Amino acid sequence: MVTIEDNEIFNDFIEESVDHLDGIEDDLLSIEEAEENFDEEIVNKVFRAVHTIKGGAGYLGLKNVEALAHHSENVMGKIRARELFPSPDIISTLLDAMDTLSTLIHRHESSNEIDISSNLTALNAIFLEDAPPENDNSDENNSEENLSPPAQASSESFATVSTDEEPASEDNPVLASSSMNDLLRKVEQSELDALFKQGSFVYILQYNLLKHSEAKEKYHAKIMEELKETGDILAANIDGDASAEMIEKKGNLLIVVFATILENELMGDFFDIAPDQIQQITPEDLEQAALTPAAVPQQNQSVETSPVSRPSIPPATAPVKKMEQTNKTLLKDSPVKPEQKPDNLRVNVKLLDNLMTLAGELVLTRNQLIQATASRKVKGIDNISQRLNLVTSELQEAIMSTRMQPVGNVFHKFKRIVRDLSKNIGKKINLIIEGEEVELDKTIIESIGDPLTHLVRNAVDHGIEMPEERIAAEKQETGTLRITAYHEGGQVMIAIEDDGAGINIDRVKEKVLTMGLRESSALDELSDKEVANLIFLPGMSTAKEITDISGRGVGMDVVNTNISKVGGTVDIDTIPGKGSIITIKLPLTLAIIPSLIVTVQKERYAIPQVNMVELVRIPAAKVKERIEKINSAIVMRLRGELLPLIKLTDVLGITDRYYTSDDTGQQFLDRRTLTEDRRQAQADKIAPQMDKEETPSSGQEKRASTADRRTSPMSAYNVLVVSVGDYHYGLIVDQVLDSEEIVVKPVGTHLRDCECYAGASVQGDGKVALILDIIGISNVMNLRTVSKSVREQALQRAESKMMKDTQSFLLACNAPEEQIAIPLDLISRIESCKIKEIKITGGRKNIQYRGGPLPLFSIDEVADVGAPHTDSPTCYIIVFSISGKEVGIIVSEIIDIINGTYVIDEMTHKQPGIMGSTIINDEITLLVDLYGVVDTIMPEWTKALKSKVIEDSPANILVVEDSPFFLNQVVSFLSEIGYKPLTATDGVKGLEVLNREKIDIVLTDIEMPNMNGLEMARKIRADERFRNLPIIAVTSLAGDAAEKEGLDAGINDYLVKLDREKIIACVRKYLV
Amino acid sequence: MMNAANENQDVELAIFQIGDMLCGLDTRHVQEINHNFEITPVHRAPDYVQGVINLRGEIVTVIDLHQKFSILPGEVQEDTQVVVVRYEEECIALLVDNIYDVVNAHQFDISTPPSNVDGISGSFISCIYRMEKDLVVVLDLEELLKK
Repeated sequence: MVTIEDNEIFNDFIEESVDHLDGIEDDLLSIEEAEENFDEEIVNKVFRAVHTIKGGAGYLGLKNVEALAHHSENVMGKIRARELFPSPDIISTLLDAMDTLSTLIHRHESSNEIDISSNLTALNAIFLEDAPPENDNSDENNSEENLSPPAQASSESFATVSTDEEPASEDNPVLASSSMNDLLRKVEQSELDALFKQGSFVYILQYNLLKHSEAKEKYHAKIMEELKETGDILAANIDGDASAEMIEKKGNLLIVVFATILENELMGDFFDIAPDQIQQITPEDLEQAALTPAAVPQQNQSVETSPVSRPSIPPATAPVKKMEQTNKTLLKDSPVKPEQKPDNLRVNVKLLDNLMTLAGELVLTRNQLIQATASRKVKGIDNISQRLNLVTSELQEAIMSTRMQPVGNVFHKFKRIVRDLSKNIGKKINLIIEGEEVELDKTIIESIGDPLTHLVRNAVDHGIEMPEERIAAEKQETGTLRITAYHEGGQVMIAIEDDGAGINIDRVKEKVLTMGLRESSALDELSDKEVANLIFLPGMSTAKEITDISGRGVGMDVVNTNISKVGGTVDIDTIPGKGSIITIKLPLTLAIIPSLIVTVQKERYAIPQVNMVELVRIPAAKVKERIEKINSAIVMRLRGELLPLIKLTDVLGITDRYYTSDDTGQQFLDRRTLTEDRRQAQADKIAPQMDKEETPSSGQEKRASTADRRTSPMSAYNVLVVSVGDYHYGLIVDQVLDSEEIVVKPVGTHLRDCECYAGASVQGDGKVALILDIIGISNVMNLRTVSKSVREQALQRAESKMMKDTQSFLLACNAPEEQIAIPLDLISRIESCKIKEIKITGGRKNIQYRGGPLPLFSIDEVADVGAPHTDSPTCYIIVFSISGKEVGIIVSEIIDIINGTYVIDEMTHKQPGIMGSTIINDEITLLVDLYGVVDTIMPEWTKALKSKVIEDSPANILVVEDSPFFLNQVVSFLSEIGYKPLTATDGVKGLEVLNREKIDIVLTDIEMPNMNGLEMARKIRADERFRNLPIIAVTSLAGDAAEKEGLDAGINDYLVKLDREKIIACVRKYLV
Repeated sequence: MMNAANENQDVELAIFQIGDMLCGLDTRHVQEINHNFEITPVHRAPDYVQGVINLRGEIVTVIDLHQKFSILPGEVQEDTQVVVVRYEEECIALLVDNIYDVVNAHQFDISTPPSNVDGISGSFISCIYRMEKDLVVVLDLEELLKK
């Protein structure tokens, strides 16, 4: 009888033992790695851990556990005494023993009936002989040769040689197949359906136990364990009815119904099983099976047979019987569904104390609140609510942190997987794990285990080549597999990097074409990286050619699906011949996410901020200009790109009933007739709203009103620019309310099929707001195709402006009709402020900002332009820095940020503070010279920049730039401080000058006709004379990648165009 | 589950009204009867899903039984009445028109559905309970809520 107390002791014992075993695995692997220089302390640690388990097991009467622990301890003792060298074989044996030990402990109720003799034999053999015979290696993965039956060295005392037999029955294929169907019937149909839906495959595996045991020492328990690592065992049965003689001849059949995400082709590799022993079950097969008559009843009887002691069995057959017995034992208690592990979580006591304190605080605050409300004191409520806010957020943080777990929990098992797998297939792999301490939410940790295992296995199996191939490819014989976790941008990144063969891009393309997943013209446009990422497409996974030739692409869509389920993304980078990096981006936590609350038609929705890029509001007056139609799709111009737009109302199929007043933000019921019912709206929802203008079914009145809406002041557009992987789209909503931290709650099963929602959340007022799934919406609206056409246009545009680089400007205006542009790269930030906050002290405008005065300038102080108008209470301050000081320029209105190539006129409008003019959006736009503005008003501030160079050593500077405007700008910066730069308009001319004159430093643009800056830099570096000539790129091609390319080409520094200060500082630096 | 007639026991039924049909549900499945919820509509959901409500922090799907039985909804009521049931570890709210009573239905008063009741809505009917005046359609929750 088991009392509660007993149970508790058992639970403690299990918990403790599992902890020990977890540690032992790592320790054993590190002992193996260190070879003869192993750390004695680690051996001691393992020894103690095993000893502890032994002690506990003895007390609880777990004889098998005790015996196994005892034997392991013996071997460990010898290693500790340095009588035994911990060779990989010995470590394998110990690892196996630990695996069995773990199984025994998890099934402690029946552990005494489980057969452990093979482990004991192997351990004993090691213990008795200093150097164990080769064939005593019991690791199922690395021993290819036949193993002599363990019985010969077996310690009979531990082997429970009892076996159960039934009268012989024919061991024929019919029996096997009928028992398969029988087995299959045991599995719930609904369970199978669910598995298929998740993308799992269901197989029936047939193991010939006898054959396996002889050849690979893979006995039943081990098979089961191995299977469980990669999937779920749905049902298991063995044909235990064969007689001893039959077993000898034909072996024993173990049949397992098994669900996994592994592809059929991989099953054999992973489980050491011949392809003809694997039968894949498809949903269609199941229907068939349901129709066939009930199976032979005797199949199940094997379980209940009475044990008959057979001490007279010849030693050679003994292991088979034992195994058979094991099978039956396992069958009795191996659950059909995966084991439910107790869901415990260890929490730091300190953290718990902290939680207690916070809870106390919360109670106090509540009491205060109750008092305040009871006495109707409004005064104190502000304080209390602030305090409540504080306590709640701290409490939330503390509770969240209890859920955080180091990602190392998942990583540590890879050591073993990589070791076993690489040994098995004969590869040499050095596994490097970094960032184990990075923490992630418990749920995420749990759900990334399988996908990561899959990726690691893939990398080992297909990524890294065989040693001989590596040597042939002039690589190190040992491949490197690096698993790294790190934080980036509020998310956790996990990178799996191998230096293997990479992905064969051409094979992927071929496969995509044959599968008809993309058209060949579309493929040609894609970069190699984009092609590589196509392996995540569903359907690619079954591509056999890919698995054969370049690996990867196996079940990758399932990996992708599983990762995106927890809000992550997967990305692959590959260089053929050099290796691949798979990067997984994961959110820190799932439960609480910062979101933006928006409304459409008075309904509230939340959009996770991770998906947000920016908010764009298009005033009604600009709607016509900014929003255009391509076929039926609406697009918006955003900094030269065309952004596909969709209305949230169209996505959700809501009929427009309310319109938003631009002035007040209030919503009014539209006067339009509301005849359309919801179903009609749903039918229309795919077609964007604007199409309805042409739909004859809509009433005349409605048509008029819809047309009105486009131009009426009522229809300003709020566009949320959101990102889905590599592309962006705009979502039009009615109102943007607020940004909130929302608690994500799952929605019911009936709503799981709605792709548009990621969940729901309860708002402060108790109402429910649904969380929009940005990716789902793009799928529902088929946005990929739209984005492709937009992309084509972008490509065309990019071609047309080849050899010209673009400039980004901030467009603003002071006086109406007078547009000004400021180079975006020079701006630190933009602030809005109230005009009355601007003070004039000592004749200078300034504003209190972050505890100090921020000097303000107005362009009209230096240039003949309109002054900022003062009728609006607020204005904007464009903050930039000059000579290390922060300075602000006042403008009345910010219009936009634009990006493009502009012809700049330096003559017409040139004056202090204005560099020149250009035409942007059909308006004459003045280009502001920030430096000039400050220089004119406060010449002493810029003095440092202007100190002339010493006359007697005028350095020769070569400026290479194709745009006359920028060329003149740079030349004027430099002339001002006393240099006399030489100029050239492209790389070819630059090299000519370089050969003719003595040049001390080169400033060059990157994008130029004839020869670009990079090419020129490479040519310069190739010349012995110019090896140390400083080359500075002055460009608008920003970005790390561009910069890296520049550095590779030999460019010393990267600067932004028009940043006078930096350019001068840099030139000085290199000339000193 | 709803084969109350097969068990030799009385069944406790919650009686409510959908359109002009009286329905009953075994109280073992009913978690609570509640009213006055603000239903948040869920667009693109199946037709029979009326929306979701916030039931003490849990997001509960509201199923419109009118749609299920293809009955035209009656007058739109200000005060929504829902029967919250537990089905496969999940709370689901059934939108009904009126809630009456909980009765002890004697097994002799329960009979199988008449043979002329079939079709889709027929499969939702587990059995018929004969009250003194009216007939109550006892619903088969599993059939009703399975996807």
